[in-house]
Amino acid sequence: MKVLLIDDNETITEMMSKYLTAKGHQCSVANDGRSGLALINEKKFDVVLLDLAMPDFTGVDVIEDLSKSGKIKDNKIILFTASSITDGEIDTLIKKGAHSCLKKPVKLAVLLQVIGG
Amino acid sequence: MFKQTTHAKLIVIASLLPIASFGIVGTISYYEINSFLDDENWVKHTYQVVGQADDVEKSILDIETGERGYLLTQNIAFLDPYNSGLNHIQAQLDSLRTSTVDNPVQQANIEKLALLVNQKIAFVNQTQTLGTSGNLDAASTLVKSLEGKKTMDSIRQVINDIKNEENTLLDKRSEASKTSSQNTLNTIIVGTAIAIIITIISTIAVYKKMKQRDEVDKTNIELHLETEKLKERDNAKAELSAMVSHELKTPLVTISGYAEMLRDESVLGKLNQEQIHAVETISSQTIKLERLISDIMDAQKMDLKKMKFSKREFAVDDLMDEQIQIHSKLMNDKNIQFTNTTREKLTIKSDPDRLNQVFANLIKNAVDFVPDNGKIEINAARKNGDVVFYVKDNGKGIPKEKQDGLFKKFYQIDTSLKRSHGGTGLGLVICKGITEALGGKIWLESEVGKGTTFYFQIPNNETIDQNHKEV
Repeated sequence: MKVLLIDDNETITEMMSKYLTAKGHQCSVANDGRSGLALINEKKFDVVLLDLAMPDFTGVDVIEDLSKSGKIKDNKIILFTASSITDGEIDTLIKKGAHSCLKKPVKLAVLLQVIGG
Repeated sequence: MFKQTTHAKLIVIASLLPIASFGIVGTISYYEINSFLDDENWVKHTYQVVGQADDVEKSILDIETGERGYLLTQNIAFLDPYNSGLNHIQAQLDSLRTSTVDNPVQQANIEKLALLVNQKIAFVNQTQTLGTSGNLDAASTLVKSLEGKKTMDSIRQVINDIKNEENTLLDKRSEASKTSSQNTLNTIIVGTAIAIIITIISTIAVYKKMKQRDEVDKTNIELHLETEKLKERDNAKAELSAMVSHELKTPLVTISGYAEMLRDESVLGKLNQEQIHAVETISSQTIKLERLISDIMDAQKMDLKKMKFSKREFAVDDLMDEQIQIHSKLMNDKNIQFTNTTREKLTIKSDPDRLNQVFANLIKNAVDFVPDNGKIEINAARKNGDVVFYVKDNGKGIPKEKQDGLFKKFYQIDTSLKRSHGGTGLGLVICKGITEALGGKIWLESEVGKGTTFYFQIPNNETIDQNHKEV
């Protein structure tokens, strides 16, 4: 699977890419919202793990942009957040085309399951 | 609203009181003055009666003098006062009678007087007739007989009586009139003074109340500003909490992730037994830390009344089955007999996610306190339209004196148990907050050595506590 990890925390992206690579996936990493969006627009990924709380250009901004451009349907975008986002806010993002939501911290086994393969 | 009514009432009373008191003073003065004028009239009346009595006396004297003059001189000119007296005296007696019609003493006097006057007139006429017929000696003898003088003395006596009676009355009436005028004066002075005092008191009362109201208005504005500030502070607190929670959880992602990777030999290679134990400890402690952060966040939200609820109609037995599913692995691991004894098919409108949270906390507590091969039972039953849930264990029980503190923050039954049970001390606080926000209540029954049952009663379709936002 081609997986894109978008998270401003580099230790998280490093850890997750190591794990997913060990499990046979191809991982790309972006550590801010803008470069993540650029990668989505450039290449096709099977799964995008998108952190919501990022400085400057947030995960919500990424969703908004993809929703406007219509590209959101081409990607399986899994929201990944530790912030106290409400169910209502998650519902809004899922209606806009996000696939699902995982709350941090998540068991890696669960992550693997959600990514599928 | 209540305050405004009181103010309006006060102002009306404060304005009406002086008006009323001046009105009362005016009315009393009016009656006093009338009574004074009345007394004055009586004084005048007395003088009138005395004058009338004098008139009668004068007329009788005229009659007598005229008759004597004629007898002495035989000059007809002397008969003028005699005739004039005769002409007027009956009318004068009548006037006197009319004036004293209300006084029986005077009426009796007047009757006596009238009798004597008639007697005198008859006597004078007799003398007169003798004189006119030339029988002067006989007339003279008659006069000398003193009979006429006696009558005249009696007349004077009666007239004096009449006058005395009137004078006595005059004294009384003058006294009354004086008292009356003094009373009038007193009433006006005292009444006016009282009315002025009432006006001053009313004015002061209104002024004070107005000032008080100004102060209340001021205080209200200050309180409002204070409330706004507190709200802002609460919001800032909530934002800070959300941020702190996010910042605390982020490192946990990496810690728990690496711990999990270490245990998976396909990722980072095989570990020896001690290394595996170390990694598992990191994992389990990370889970506890995460739970603590979540509990602190929930308790914080409860404090700030920011916890969000979403009510919907749901089947209670589904909620109960879910508990069995969620916790079955834990119960199997710990060899606990975990049963759902619900018999009724129930639906309720409430927040199932929050009720799951309450169950999770109560079940975890029960697991911590039951012995090996323990028993935990959950149940739901209808009670007066509400649903009462319970979680029952056969643990060691909670002594009475420790029960009260259970729903307080960071309370743990026994500090020595902390390490083995690893609760956050916030679980029951959160359960209480949630049940109360859902309009219900939570309580327990416990017996040392036998076990503990936690009950929570949730109303159906109950409006959620208004302080809590419904999503």
